[in-house]
Amino acid sequence: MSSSRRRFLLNTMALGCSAAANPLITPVTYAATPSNNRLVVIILRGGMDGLDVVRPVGDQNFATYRTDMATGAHDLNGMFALHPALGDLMPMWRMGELGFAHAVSTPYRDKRSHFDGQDLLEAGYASIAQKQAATGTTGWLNRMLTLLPNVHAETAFAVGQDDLILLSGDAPHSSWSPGRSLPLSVQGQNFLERMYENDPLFHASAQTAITLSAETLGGEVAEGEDMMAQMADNLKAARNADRAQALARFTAEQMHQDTRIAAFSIGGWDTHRNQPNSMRNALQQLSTALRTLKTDLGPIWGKTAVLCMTEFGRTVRQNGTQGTDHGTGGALLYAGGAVRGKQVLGRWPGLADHQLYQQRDLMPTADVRGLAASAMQGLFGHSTSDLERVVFPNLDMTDAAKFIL
Amino acid sequence: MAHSPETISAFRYGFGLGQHQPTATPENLIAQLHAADTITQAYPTFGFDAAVAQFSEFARLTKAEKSGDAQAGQQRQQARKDMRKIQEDALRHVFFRAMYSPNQFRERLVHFWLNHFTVSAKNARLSLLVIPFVEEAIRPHIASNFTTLLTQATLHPAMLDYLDQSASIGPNSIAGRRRDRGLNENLARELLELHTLGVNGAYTQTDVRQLAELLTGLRTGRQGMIYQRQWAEPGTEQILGKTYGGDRPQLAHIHEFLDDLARRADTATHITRKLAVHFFSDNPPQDLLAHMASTYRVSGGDLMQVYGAMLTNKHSFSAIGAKVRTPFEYVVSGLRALGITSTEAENYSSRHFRRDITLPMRLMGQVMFRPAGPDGWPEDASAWITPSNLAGRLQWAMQITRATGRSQSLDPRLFLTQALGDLASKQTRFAASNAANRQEALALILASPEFNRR
Repeated sequence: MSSSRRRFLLNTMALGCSAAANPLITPVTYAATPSNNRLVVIILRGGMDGLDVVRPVGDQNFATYRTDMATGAHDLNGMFALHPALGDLMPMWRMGELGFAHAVSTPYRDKRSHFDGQDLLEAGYASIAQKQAATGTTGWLNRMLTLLPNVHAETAFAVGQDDLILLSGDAPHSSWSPGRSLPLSVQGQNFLERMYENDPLFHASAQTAITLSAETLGGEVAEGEDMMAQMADNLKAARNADRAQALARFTAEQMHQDTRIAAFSIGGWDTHRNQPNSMRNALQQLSTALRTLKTDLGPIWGKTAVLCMTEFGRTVRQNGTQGTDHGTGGALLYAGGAVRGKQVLGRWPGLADHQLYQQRDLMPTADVRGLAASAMQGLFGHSTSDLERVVFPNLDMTDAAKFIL
Repeated sequence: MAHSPETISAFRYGFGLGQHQPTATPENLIAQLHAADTITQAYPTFGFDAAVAQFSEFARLTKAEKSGDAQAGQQRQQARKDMRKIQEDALRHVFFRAMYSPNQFRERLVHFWLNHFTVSAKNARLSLLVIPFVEEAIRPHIASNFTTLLTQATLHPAMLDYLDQSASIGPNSIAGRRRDRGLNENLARELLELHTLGVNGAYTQTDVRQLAELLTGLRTGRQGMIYQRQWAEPGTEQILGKTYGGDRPQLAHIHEFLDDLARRADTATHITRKLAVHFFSDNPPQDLLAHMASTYRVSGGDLMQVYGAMLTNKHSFSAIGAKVRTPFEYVVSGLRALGITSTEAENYSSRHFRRDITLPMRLMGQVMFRPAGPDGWPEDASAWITPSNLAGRLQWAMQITRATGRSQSLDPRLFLTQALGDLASKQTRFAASNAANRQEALALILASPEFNRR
């Protein structure tokens, strides 16, 4: 597809779905991108056990709570040690490209529901009540986009199949999964667009699909036998691909072009049972994603920050089935060439019974939204007041750690 | 334009137009639930006993092989193939039931309740247990009292395994004191949050914890659920303001709690809202919700009466299209609309079924019986119609019309009526009659918003 055709489609898509809401979109803005820096947000669905991933081995109480853990953790700084399944990330840590924040959480409390917890993490509000009171569900990453100049549909990308609240909202963005194609002739695509013209949801999705399937396949849509072969390849990819690697690879490809912001999710963190085994698979996915991003981004890695965030941490005590149940405070992972790594940020609350949240969970000592806000300020130069009001309502950034170089 | 009640009924309460299109009256839809469930004989699946037999045989052969029995090794390979085959046959039959049952509303309800009480096939064991779960805990009880359905679903081995209950031990129980094991609160939480009260319901973390204690003792045995008193936490539990249990733990205490739970007002609100959201829209009309919830409360959770309230409301046959068909609904409706006969379907090989049905569904965002979490598949349209999932639907539309030979034999103008009745928009009619070839014309009809919505 020629670049003018591609621009035209992106343009119509933006106009079709959100031009009214975003006065920044005009055809001429495509010449510029909002910044040279890149931000990737990885949502870790299921409640990652921060205490197992970044272990507070220097806290004398820790060992008493956790008797069945995977052995062979990697020392970070005497106080903390990294889960053995993340050993492949130690070179990144040593180069200062990997860091953590501990005892952090969203403002979500008490009911410990995955689904409310994830909604609040992605929506970025101060409470479920505030989210419910807001008109329409928008995500904090989308609200941040509304503050950037020169945003167009390819500036931000939701990668993968799940519906990310994080990027929903008024600012245009794209979403796509690697390995898809739209097997229609050009004429068929025109009919499709006409069929969808009165249905905004189908229309917007089809526009993106038409553009991206042509782009990611590098040109013309195949027809006849070729098309069937192409579809067979897609099926195979959906079955066999290492999902995390595919997501990271696709993200990096987009970031080499006009994309500056991307998000995807990795699941498998709900480790109620036999945690030494169940954690390993999820951590390997995360490790693969981060290493693939670094490799595939090449020189751009230096301008990139990656934030890995989860809806809540897990109980301090292991439960009766060598696992952990839903908790409160947890850990954030960050990586990239644009971050100041090799440190574990945060104020450690201690693990004695009276220091726990409700005698059960790691006490959160910082709002995880503050770290995301700080990263965006460092990368894109937002004002504190915009971040505290528009992006993360009721956030106080006063004590938010700065970790962008 | 007002559409006919027949079309509305087929889209809202069934898997679209096609064979066995139900007559569009509330009485007919209710009668489907009273009728004998004969489609299960035409397309049988399997129960817990058969699943256990498969596991046991496999385990026996694995052990024999390890101790050096070479023949057992070969038999083990065969057992693995057998296990896979009974699962694949059952999966095909799940599709065939939905495609060919004269009681379309019953099939839709089975899938609704399976999704409400999600058990996800996240490992090999659960992959074998999902089918018995539908067959034993869900399907026979969708028209009884909610207490019955709740009890059957909660106490089925598949649920006990999926939400880790079968490993949870009372810390002060005989077994708990003897070894270093204890509570797992996974099932207790989802039972309140997802299955009954809803996340906005009136319960606390303490209720979750106390309930986790009450539920100890529930295990999976070779014959099904067993209650193991040595695992059960002794003493009473305070849950939702009432005291349950006693010094001698009994299964009856759990039944008593589930019975109370099913009757709570929060449960009535949550369950009826979920039904209305599934069949009507993400924001169902207030009067419909109020009518259904009060029917639930007054009848003590009699599901037939709740369905009756849903079907005899002024909204029952109102305009459709606020919801999007899930990939399963889309595929089943597509096959019905294409007029795939039961003989054709039954002759489809497992390999082709994977190629043309279950793998394409992955590209639409749904791995059959394997949602990501216990909240099941999403209801909102935007979750399904993402660019990549929509491309998956189109890809399947092109593929299936060709794989079934319909791209050679089916006139798109005829298909327009078969698939959409009186729903086709002007643009869809135009696309169907002007597309470059039959395959694309048929695929465009399957891709139309009217066909994807319900």
